[in-house]
Amino acid sequence: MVVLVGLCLTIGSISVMASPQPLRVLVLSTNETTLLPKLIREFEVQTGRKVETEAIPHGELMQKMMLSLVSRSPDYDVVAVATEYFGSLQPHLEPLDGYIKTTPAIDMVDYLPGVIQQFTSHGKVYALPWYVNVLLGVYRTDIFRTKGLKWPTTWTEYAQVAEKATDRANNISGATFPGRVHAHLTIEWVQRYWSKGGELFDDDGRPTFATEAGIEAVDDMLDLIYERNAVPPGFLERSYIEDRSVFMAGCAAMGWFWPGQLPILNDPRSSAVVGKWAVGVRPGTPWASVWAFGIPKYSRNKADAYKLIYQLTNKEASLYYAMNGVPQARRSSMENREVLAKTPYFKEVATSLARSKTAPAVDNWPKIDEILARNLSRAISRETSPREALAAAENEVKKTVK
Amino acid sequence: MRRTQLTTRRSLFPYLLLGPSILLVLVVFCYPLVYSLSLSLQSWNLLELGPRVFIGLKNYSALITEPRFLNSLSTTLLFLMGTVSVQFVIGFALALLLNKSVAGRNFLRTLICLPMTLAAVVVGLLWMWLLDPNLGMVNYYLRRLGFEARSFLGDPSLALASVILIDAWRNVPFTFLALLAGIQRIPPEMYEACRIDGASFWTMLTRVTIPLLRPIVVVVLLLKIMDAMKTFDLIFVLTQGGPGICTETLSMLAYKVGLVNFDVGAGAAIATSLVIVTLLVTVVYGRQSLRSDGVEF
Repeated sequence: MVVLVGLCLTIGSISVMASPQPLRVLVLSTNETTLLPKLIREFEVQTGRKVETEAIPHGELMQKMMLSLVSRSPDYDVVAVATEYFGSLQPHLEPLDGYIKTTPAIDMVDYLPGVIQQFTSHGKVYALPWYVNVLLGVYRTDIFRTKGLKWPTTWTEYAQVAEKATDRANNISGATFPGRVHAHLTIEWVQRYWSKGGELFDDDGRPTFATEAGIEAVDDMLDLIYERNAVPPGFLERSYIEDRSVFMAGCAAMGWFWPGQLPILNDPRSSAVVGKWAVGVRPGTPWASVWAFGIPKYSRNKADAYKLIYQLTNKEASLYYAMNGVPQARRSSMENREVLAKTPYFKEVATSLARSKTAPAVDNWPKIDEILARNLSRAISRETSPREALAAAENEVKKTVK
Repeated sequence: MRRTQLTTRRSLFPYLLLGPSILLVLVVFCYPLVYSLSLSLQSWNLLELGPRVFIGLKNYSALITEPRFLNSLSTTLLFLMGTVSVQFVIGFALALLLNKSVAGRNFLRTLICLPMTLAAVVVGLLWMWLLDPNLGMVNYYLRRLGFEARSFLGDPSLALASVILIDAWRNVPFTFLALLAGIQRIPPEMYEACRIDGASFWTMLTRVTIPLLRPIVVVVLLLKIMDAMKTFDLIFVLTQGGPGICTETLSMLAYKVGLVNFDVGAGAAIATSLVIVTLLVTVVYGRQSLRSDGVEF
């Protein structure tokens, strides 16, 4: 009996050793991720190599990835990296230049200006773009028509339009606002700050939050919330994610969406505003972020991992994403006539991208983001003044930046 | 000689049987605790590529002067007192009520126990939607009754109280069941004797029920104190410690510092502090409560 069990185990382990381990991919769980399985299946058919995808929410992605990378674990062969986290993750990623050179069809010139630079460090490319994220405004065409409103082009106009669009008797607020202690609150403030000419860090890398522009940016938010009473009740409980539901339930005249999430507005099963919305460009300087794929240094399947990345980011893949409403970093997809006919809001995406900025290239953005969100939350819940909140955030970040 | 060998074998036998369990406890309980303790004595940030550095008690001394830590400590104690007292009062009242033969008693007992079967994350999401100021049922009825919609989880003055009540709602069933079991163990003859003597409900409650329930009450409160001290998932789903830091308990702070800011050393120091505070509260309460019963704690 013992001999039989031993024999079975030996045969089992030999067969496991003979078949290659599946490639493991760690990505965020979002609308864009639902487009990956088709391309992954094609890769599996072409190469005979299995792929296991682990999709987890944005909040937990960075934690899981960081713990895996710091422990030098070969758990993942491909990881999804966002612009704002690249600085923290880059030391654990494999440079892709060697692989890129062997792939003439990759057409690096096709990428929009500045995108590849976001994943470049010391002249080496560490990740290839998957999709582009830039916040777009959405507004209720019926409310705007009835009240004779136009999509605002400045933050001042935005507050005025939000106030006019507010109709408390019918439970409609002018604009959604992500007031929860979350990265989205940071984004909301940073965009207003940038629009006023502010910068998060000076030339020496010191944080510069508690400036006049920074305080004005918080004052603008307070004006929208309290003076004009134009945001939905409970804004302190919501990020952009929960705000989506408020807009989709028809309780707000303006909201903010990532482009890849716009198609759900036309789904009558979850949206009460089907056919009653249009897209607008965010005033000032919008926040943009690019999601890309990289290979951890500790992967044992780097060559195949690169093949998979190429499969997920080549021109055909990019066109496939674009046709499904996901903005791309490749010019060929964003300027494709069929794509533009199918997704007219790509025009607004392109305009926003041209004006946008990304998170500063620092190696500890997650920490800075948490500090800012927490202190901004105290300011917008009127626990403390804007100046005190920003000064507190600045002091905390000063201790962080070395 | 043979007898000595037999005796040695017999004396080793219990240890051999206990060995695997002790090993398991050491691996799954002691190792993480010791590892966490050792991490708390080091400076280690995952975002920095530098090595871990032993810094002694510096992480702890930094905590003592850190206003955010002190705020979390007071929030944790407030949360603890709030949730445990609400759970106890409601659980005890329900146990007294449903110990009597009332109509639909079994159905009501089952109904009360339902929240206990739900995971904290589910409870959090459920209440988040119920309390939503725009789409939630609670605010819908408040508006229908002529009140203004309130942001229960977003208003700094209401957030902690709301979290306390939601946590209590989830935990009342345990208190109810434990106390009901205790009440049912009290011999009915004692109540009969009281009634013959003309004792009122209040007298029976204070002179019979509560004194005889005391050991169970002590155990229930001890368990609930430890449970409340480490509450994390519910707060994470409901408020993530916000608005600002209004609902940031020690476990939430440890998570944010250790796993959001990746400051693992400081995060471990907060987690260890939480263990110390929990031990302190439990030991002080346990000693006080059990000493009068003549029990060693």
